[in-house]
Amino acid sequence: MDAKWFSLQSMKLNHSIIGAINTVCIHLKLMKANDQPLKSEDEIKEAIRTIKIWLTELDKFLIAYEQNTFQAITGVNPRIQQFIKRFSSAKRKNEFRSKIFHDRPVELTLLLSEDDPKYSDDLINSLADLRTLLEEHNQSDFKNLLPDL
Amino acid sequence: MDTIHSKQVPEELALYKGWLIRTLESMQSVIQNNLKAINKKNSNLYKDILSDTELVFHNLGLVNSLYVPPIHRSISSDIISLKLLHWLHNSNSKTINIPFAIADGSFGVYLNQRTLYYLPIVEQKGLLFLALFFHEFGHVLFAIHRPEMEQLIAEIQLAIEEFLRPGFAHNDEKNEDEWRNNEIIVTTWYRWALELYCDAVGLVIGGPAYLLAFSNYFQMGGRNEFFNNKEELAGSTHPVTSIRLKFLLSRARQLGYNEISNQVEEEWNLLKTSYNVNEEYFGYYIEEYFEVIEGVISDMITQSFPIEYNNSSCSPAVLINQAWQKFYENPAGYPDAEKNLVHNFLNSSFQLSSILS
Repeated sequence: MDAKWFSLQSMKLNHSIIGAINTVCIHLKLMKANDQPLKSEDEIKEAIRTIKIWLTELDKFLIAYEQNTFQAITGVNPRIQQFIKRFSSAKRKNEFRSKIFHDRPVELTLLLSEDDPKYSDDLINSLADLRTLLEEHNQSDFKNLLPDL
Repeated sequence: MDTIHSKQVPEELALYKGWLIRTLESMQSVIQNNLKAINKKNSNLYKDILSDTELVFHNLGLVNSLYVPPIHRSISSDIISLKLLHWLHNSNSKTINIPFAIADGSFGVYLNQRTLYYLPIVEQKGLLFLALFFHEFGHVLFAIHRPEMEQLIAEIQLAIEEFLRPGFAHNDEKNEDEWRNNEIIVTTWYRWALELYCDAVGLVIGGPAYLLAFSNYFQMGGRNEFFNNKEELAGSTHPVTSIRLKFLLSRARQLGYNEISNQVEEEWNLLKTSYNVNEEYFGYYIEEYFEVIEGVISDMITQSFPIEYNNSSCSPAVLINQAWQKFYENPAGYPDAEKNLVHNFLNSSFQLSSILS
């Protein structure tokens, strides 16, 4: 077992969240344009559920980390721990303007209603910013697994 | 896709092949969906479509370099390893439907919705070191019990954090360095605890053969098996081998493998003496940690219930133990003895279906 195993685990998680974000963002934008959805209602509900679960986890770990940044976050894969630190640093340095980087991540779950996902600029912008961080993290996992030529 | 469809594989790889084909089909479906999204000609969607396309690109990279080779390389001599892994996966209701395959490389496992077991080419040719697969299976058990396992690992991390906590806190640079150092140690223990758990799984499933395979595999690794400097320890994926051995020997004795444990311990003590090495772990390990770690590892075993070694049964674990016994009885005659063991395993009344039922 080497560090690549952790990268693969991390990539699996990131892919499911990024995929869910893409599904929700595309759906919300099509709704805004009064266009037909591309994915089924079940697929969209599942994507929302995935994001909500993950935001709740992120929120929990973020609180633990921000209470004492000198202490390790226990019971967490070190790659996820690195993401939490990166998220916290992006918040501190005001790298992103969207709501999720100014409120707690769990606040975003309130905007995601499984039965009636209403369009909201806050939601789309937050998801897009979150995706940027996840993609950055994902790139480094990918490079760890499959080095460049 | 045609290459995979047309490739003939042993029945033990059928589940894996099916998974691979479904994965490629699902990637095709994502691409088709993205093409439909592009045809909407809504520029607001382009970033999302690009992101989705990148996911497919990354997945294709992984499939091409990690997941297709085990099907492409599939060779008849894999049969013993495949039967062993099939037995392992069938030993637990939660792993029975996880596709698996074998790949060339250092011992290891890649786990996602499927499992890739890595096995060095030399070790693929014999029985002795197949016992190390039992450790790798521990990683699979860990993954399917992740939430409970991570809670238990947190117990170890918190206990170590408590041991390391400075006697009194003061706001100076030295204190900050100490906190940072402790954070690295505690974080490192996530990976270390996982590996100690997998060693325990290896021993529970493989019995004495696991201890012997482990010991022989690492024995000639040099001083590094006893000592790593502080920088090497920080964020390392595995505890120093001498630490792993302490835990293995303790558990092996609890399981009643006293004679073999004494023999292994003696060999490692001789090595330690000849290297004249000082076992210093810079706070990453001290004897005071032992009890709490061992207790939690036992809880992790209880939580994941790996199949226990039973020498009165007929299983691949027993086969590997027989191999080690033959090896120690007569090393020179071992190659022939191993051929007989393999022959009997594949042709005698020992049929995989009978163990599974």
